[in-house]
Amino acid sequence: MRKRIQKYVLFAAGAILLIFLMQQINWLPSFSDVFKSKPVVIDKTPVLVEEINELAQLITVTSYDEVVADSVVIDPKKITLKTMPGISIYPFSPLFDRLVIIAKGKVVAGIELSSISEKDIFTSEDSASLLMPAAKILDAVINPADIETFSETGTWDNNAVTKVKIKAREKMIKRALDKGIIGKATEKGKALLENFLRSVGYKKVQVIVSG
Amino acid sequence: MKAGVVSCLLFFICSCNSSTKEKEQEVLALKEMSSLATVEYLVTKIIKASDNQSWYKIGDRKILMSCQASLKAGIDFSKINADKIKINGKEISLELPRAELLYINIKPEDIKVEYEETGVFRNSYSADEKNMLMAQGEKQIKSSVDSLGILQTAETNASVFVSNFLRQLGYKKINISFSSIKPAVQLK
Repeated sequence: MRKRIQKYVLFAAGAILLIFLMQQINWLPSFSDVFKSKPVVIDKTPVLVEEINELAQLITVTSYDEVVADSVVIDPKKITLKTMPGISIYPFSPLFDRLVIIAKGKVVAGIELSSISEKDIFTSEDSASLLMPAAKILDAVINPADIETFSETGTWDNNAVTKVKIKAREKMIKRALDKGIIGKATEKGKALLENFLRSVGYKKVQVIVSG
Repeated sequence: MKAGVVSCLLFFICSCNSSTKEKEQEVLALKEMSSLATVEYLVTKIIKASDNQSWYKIGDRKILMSCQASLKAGIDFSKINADKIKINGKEISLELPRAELLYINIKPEDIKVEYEETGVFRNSYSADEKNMLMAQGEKQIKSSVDSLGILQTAETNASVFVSNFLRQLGYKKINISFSSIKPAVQLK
């Protein structure tokens, strides 16, 4: 009897080991994979060029940041229905819809060089003087790949989600402005242009920030 | 019996041996740059997905979204230095660095859900799921950069801009060439 049990245990252990090894070398799908939902993959579609714009933007400072933005929608009707005993279909569902996102992005600041015209440049022998516009925010970037949905309850339409993302972007711009991005971008732009003027042969250079 | 115990032990040891990779700590800060953006491409893309691959889910979910993305490319302005410039009176020759893609910007307001179809037994796409599909679209846009010809346009525009600027500074003959060294792709 004991020998028979020993045989069964040995057989079972061997079978488990065999299954495990087969899974390790991907000959068998893992048990968790059987009920794992397959990721939704988008189809390959072409990229259509709509517009090509010529630019002359000197990007001098980029602020990398991570912000949290949220939105809560409270529907009084829903609350009344949920709090009335015997009426609520989902008594344990939250009383309000909430969306919380964590957005990672960047705020790009720099000088719009296209606004420098001939009248802003003065040259005389080995001296050059340039009137440069102050730096400004050129772009604030929060791309889909940099957004993490931390919490989502209820149903959110595209417009409501867009509003939360815009809120995150505005928060990011505000934080960059608070860090003095404009002043730093103007200083760096000035230094870069002075360096460029020196490189192209001018000994005495002066870059003045307009405004 | 011993063999059975050994097999079981081996099984549990191997099960617990999942490697845990430590994520590299990212530092988010204000960073100085020196890029001259010379071109912007505005592109559109349709994001098409159908969620019917899981065998135990009854019904299908389809979604069609559209987005507009802005791609900016240009040159590294700090790489234009005295070593790459030759001046002979009113004649100047300079070597510009090769163009690179600076960044992609997909504004949230430029993402639109055009069509959505959800089966009776399915939930509609959540905000998170839609965002994940858009992230895939973003990846596809990034991978199409070479075929768009944005880098060539960026170099042409950089050459035109620098020529005009030098002309305004008083140079009569301007020769512009591009470095043979291609910048390393480092898109954040």
